[in-house]
Amino acid sequence: MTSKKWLITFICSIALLLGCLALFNALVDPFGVFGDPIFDWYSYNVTQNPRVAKIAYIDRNHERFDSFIIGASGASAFPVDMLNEHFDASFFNMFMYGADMLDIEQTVQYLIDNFTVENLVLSIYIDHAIYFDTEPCRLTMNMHRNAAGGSWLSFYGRYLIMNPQYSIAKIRSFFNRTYLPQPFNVFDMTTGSYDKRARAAEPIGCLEEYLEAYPIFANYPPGRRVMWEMDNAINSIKSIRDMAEAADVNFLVIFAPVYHEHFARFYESEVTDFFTRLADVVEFWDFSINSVSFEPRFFYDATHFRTDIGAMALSRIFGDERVYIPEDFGVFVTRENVREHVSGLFEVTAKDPALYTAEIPILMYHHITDNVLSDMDVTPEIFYVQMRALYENGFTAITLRQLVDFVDYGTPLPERPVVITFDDGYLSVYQYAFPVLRQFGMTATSFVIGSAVGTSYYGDTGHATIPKFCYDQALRMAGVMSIQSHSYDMHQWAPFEEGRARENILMWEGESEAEYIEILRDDHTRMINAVYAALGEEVFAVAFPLGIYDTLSQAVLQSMGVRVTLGTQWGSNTIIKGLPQSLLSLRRFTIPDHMSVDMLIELVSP
Amino acid sequence: MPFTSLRFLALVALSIVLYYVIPRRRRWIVLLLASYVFYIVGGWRTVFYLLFTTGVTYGTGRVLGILNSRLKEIPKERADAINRLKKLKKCTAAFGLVLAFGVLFLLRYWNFAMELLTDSDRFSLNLLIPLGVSFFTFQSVGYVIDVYRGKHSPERNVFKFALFVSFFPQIIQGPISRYHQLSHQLTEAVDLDFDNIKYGIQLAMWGLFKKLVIADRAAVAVDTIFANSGYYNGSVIAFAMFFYSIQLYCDFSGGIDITRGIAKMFGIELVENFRRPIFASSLADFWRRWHITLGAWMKDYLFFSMALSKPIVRIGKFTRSKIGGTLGKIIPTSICTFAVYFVIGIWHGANFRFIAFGFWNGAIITSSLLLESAYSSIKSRVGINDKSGYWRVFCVLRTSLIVFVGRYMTRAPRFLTAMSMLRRTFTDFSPRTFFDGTILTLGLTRFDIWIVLICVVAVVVLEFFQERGMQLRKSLEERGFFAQWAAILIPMAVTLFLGVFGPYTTQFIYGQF
Repeated sequence: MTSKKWLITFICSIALLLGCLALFNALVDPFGVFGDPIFDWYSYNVTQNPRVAKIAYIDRNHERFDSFIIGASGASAFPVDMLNEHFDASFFNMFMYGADMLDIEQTVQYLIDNFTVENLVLSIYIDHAIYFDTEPCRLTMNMHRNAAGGSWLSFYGRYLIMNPQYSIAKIRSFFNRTYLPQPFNVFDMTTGSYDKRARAAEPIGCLEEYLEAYPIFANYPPGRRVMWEMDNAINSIKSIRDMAEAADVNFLVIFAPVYHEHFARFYESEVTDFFTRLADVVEFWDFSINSVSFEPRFFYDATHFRTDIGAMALSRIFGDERVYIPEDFGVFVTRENVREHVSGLFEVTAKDPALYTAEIPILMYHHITDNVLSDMDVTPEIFYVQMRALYENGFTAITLRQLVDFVDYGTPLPERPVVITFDDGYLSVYQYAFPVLRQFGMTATSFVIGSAVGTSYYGDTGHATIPKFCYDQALRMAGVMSIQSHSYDMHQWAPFEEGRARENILMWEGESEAEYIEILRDDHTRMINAVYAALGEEVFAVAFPLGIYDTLSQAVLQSMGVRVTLGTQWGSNTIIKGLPQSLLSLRRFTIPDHMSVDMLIELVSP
Repeated sequence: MPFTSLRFLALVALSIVLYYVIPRRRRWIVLLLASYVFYIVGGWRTVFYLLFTTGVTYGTGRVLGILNSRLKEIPKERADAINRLKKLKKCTAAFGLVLAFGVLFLLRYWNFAMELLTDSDRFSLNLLIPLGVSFFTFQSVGYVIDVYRGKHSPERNVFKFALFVSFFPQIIQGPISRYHQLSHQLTEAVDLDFDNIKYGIQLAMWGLFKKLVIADRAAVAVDTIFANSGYYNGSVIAFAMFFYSIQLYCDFSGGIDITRGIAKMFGIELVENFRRPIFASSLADFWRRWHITLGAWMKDYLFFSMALSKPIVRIGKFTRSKIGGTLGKIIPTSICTFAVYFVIGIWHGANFRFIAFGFWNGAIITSSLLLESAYSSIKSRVGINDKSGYWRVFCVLRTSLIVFVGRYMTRAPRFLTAMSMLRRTFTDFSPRTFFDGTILTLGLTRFDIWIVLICVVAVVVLEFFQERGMQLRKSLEERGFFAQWAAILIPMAVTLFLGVFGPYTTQFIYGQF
């Protein structure tokens, strides 16, 4: 081969390699810029770069949406379904993590210029005055060319001749995707928001434990923050306002909450200036700093708040009086009241936690019998003594529904509340516990195994078991005993099972996730139907069989309307108004027969 | 603008096209422009230093040239005038060298010296270090000394001289070229020759492969371990040093191959800087194969200057008369040799570890010189055949071990850390660590480690054949089209997918010098 021919071959080889690379990247399309022809997996694409992939997604699906909420990642916490309900619209959450005001402005312009936009909700937060026009990575943090302008060749060329590792990672992730979101696909593309099912399943209660899990709040980093980009931010907001007005778009601006220590890093004079100038441009709802900002359990980190707080904010804006909203949460700021409003921003203090939390002990019983064989058994006499002691010491037995109402609506709880629970649905509960509870005016919850209700034998095996009460007996206990789920048939007893026993609600090893989810859903549906058919009672609480659970089981049950879950971990619970997650994986005190009354009272006393 | 960046490739491609398009007499201007574009894009704030060194050495060269011509004109009988002129010449050269080296000292050694003298950083300067400052200073100082010695006439055209100092492929990490080797190639352009383009591309690709696929990968584990060296046991430290040795060789020689490949595409043949140092049989041999141009510079401008200086000549006379024999003759040479390696150590940086590195090399080479006759007699008594393959393998392994130990000093952050790591390598060595998963916590996957090892074996095998005198490129050219195509496509794909698109990219190590 002559050197000239070699050079031609060399150039052709480069072209061949780059061509193959471009084809591969275009087909796998990890950023969704080429229509994702094979995978059509925008949850993944948007996770890689929401600025690019959300624009690409809207290009293809714009007819499904007529309204948008937009902002940085904090905007994800405003529930789209609430917006839809209030505005009677179809919202899509166009938020982009780390979005600066230029990203937002360009996206709004693109939406308004190209599609029908009825409503626009703009979520801004205090850091928008710090950053502007940042693009740390031209693949993962840049704006779509359709919105930002620029050369077609440069934009699409970049995604064609990019590192194939991005595409390989997408293929690998595709085969590793699961029911719950993973770091590579954190978006729910029906709404455009983060898919928070896994995070919403994490139990939250005790503050000390929370600070241990989220050390950022215990040790918030020092350093002042300067609003270098205030002018640009204000101009962007003005520009968005003008665009909305010109296009006759219903425009709502929300100033998102931040953790109080983050807010304190800003200079008061700059904050005052920013708020004043903002109010001059547009009226807005301010949630930036208030008593909520002082409660770390409402936040993932300094600037990311939980969806429950987003929902609370929308309830405030829409005037929903039913739900719990702290009094100082949310102020509608106008040109007229802005000076008065900002003058108090740096004086906001924390609320006494006693005002919005409750310490709830939950007692766990199983079988009431004279033949005490384990710590799960209590004699009728001891049970009576224990209940009388609670009664005489001023404790009030409350239902799990009361806890839900406390969280949702802030409904006050009685003094010295205690929750009494019975697992497995034994007949002895009807025979011995029910009369005692009724005598002392107490209420309790029995977690029954659906398949075992009213039986004395284990299934159709002929093996005798401890008899369980039936639905008729449950009906007779109505008003005193709430019936909830201990699973329909996921608390099997291995010695009596011919095959593999499902002793708890966890996924079996070797079982596919899809199969497992179907089994768990089916089991819970049967439970819901059985209880509702027999008693007309809604199943909203599950005591995990053997107290065992994981994030997946918790999330699947939550998706089916379960509000309260209980384990067997020893301890009391902190229930927090406005935070439904504080009702998950509740701890219980196992009360054995040998526990003295004094010890019991000491245990449940606050 | 790193050599591995797309912008650099674009600059090279554009320069090559322009170079061969414009008339031959003007082609050097393209190189000069490309060189300054490259330097300014890489750090425009430091271009002043480059201009200063160029100006000083050009001016000194011109004055020396004038003095040289005058010297020739003066009849030999006028000894006074000749001596006066020689003195003036010496002063001129010294003035130029002090200015050129002064900048280098100020940039690289001032802070170290002041901290050493005052035990504080009160006098420290916060200066940006220009890219390749040691390389372009040494290259231009070499030129001044050559003119002083009358080896060649000074360059009259300041722009052509500026090109000699700043030629962009080599300014960052050498090789340190000589004026008489390089200058005429830069200014007397050749016609487009596809052989040059082909060999240039092949050489540059080989360099890219070594840099991107091997060195940058190995660097990940090395950086992880050195960032927290106190945490790891001797085995992991030895692993780090092994990988660092791989990284350093592939990084530096890869960079030089890219440099030489690019120069070749312009029809310029740069001097060799590496000659398969892994096969060195002694430390002195290693330095004749590793960073050859630095060693040669030191030999020509430091060693000979010292060896011919009055104090050393006097010492030589003294040792020959008082000690006599071979030892008496060797001592002055040994002093100069030690000094050269000591300076090589300091050339690498202002730090005790580099001083120790120079001391280590100087001490071993000097002691080898002094004990050479004793070694020979021991070898003959024991019956070792110098020419046998086993002895050669032993010598290569022995040299590798000595170089390996020296590497501790060039990579550890401090001298004491280097000593501590060295001690632990021998006192806390547990082979089990290599298999218990520790290695996989250093930032590299199992796949990456295999890639490094397989590619290193490929490099060693290839260099082994080169060492044996085989011309692999020539034998490949005799093969059919598909074999030759595969030889293009496979390395290209490997470099592209495992290197360019690999998860790791770092700067060239020698860029910091």
